[in-house]
Amino acid sequence: MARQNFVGLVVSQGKMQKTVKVRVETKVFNKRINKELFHRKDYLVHDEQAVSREGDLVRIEATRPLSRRKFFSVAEILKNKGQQFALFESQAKTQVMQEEAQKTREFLERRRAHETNESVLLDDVRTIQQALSQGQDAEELAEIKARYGIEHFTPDALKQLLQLDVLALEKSVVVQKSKIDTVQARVSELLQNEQDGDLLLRQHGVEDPQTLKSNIKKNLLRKYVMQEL
Amino acid sequence: MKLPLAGLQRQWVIPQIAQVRMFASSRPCGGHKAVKFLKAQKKRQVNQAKQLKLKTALDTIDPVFGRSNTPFIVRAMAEMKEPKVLAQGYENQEVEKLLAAVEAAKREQIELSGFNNTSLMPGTNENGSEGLASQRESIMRILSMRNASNKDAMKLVVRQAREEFQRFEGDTGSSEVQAAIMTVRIQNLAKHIQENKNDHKNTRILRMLVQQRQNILRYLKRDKPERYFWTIQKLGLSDSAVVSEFNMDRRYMQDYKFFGDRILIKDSKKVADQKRRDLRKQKRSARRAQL
Repeated sequence: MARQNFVGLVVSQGKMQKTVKVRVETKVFNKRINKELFHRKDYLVHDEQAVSREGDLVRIEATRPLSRRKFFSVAEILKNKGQQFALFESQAKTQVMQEEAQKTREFLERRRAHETNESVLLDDVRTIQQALSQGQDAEELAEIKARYGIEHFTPDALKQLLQLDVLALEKSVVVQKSKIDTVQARVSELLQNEQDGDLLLRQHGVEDPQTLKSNIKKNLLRKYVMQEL
Repeated sequence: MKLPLAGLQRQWVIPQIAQVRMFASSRPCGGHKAVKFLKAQKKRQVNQAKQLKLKTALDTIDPVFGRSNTPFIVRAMAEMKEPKVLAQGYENQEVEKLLAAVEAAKREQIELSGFNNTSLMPGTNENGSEGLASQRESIMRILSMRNASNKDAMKLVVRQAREEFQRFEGDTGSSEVQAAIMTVRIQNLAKHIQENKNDHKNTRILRMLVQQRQNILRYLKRDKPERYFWTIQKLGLSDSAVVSEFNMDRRYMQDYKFFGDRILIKDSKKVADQKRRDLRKQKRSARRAQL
């Protein structure tokens, strides 16, 4: 006679030696409400190698009674999700430890750099200006030149040195704005002149541009115009 | 010499025993079954002690604060009060450049105006350079993180948390990032509540945040288990702290000493008695297990 077989989920592991608790769900028809309901039963199951972990899906098979409550043993592990989780957890521990050591080192280095950072720029600018106004080359200038990688000091070079990032950002904003304006102008032009617009859409593989709704047509046109730019 | 004495004693002792009245006449238990029973009893007592201890012991990891001394959180909290870092996204170099530019412009204007008086020039004498240094110092202090508002500090820390947990450049919405940001906020808010225990409005917000973090981490466990275990390890949480049911109520606050040793729930007499009895039982069974 074939042995009794169930498929269940390991719900408890590591509390008993060579034993896990497996939850088996079966459907039971309830006559009164005319409906199938889930019925759960927990079995203590023998696990000789102690390989299954909490969360594993296992097939269990009946054996001779091994103790008062134990008469099943693990036949195979169908999904080793629990084992995977245990592996991930152990991997994460070492990985995070290494990462955090690195990050902490970086943080302390940053702090040290901030503390040792003296203001040299202010003094440097002063010496450069003095040299420029008096027209003589001071000895310190050579050092300063090496520091900033500039060969010859002119008022323009000084300005370059004192250029703020904010100004660069402003310029990029202006560029972006102008780009948006040109795209909008081109799209509105294409929308008014239907022939050109349809031609552009056909070139990009749209089959019937006339049947498109106006909003969709506009979005498509904007997309292709931006691609062209 | 000794032998006769011993014999004498025995003679004396025996009649005394005979005078004592015995209540039980059965033999002391030494049979096979009795020994087995005693052994089983001892085993059971050890197990009971273990079970009781397990039942009464708290999970070692606080579901709100996580493990103490988590490197990520320690770093984030230190970042909030860094004295040499500037608030509101200002860079040290940028501020210095601005100061230098102001000085340079001043000097240029004086030169253009035709004054040739060197005493008017800023920074030519020692006094001037000292003045400049103090100017710089005061501006740096005003902009320092130490003097920034909590809101600004949180902005900085949240940005850093996002950059540390992101999956790709500019990722603001992945589960890890959300959980990390919530953790930073939870730490900040919990500290505030510990100092202001009557701030019920923020207590509620904190409670919701903790629940939300649990929810998002549970989703992450389903979605990307590998990332999930990395994230909880980094945030100092444990799997049980995420998966098991949790409500940040008075019971939690008392058990984990949220407000120190303050008693928030007064046990009824029945419960207190039961607890005392359990404790005594635990101690007794532990003592027996040692024997």
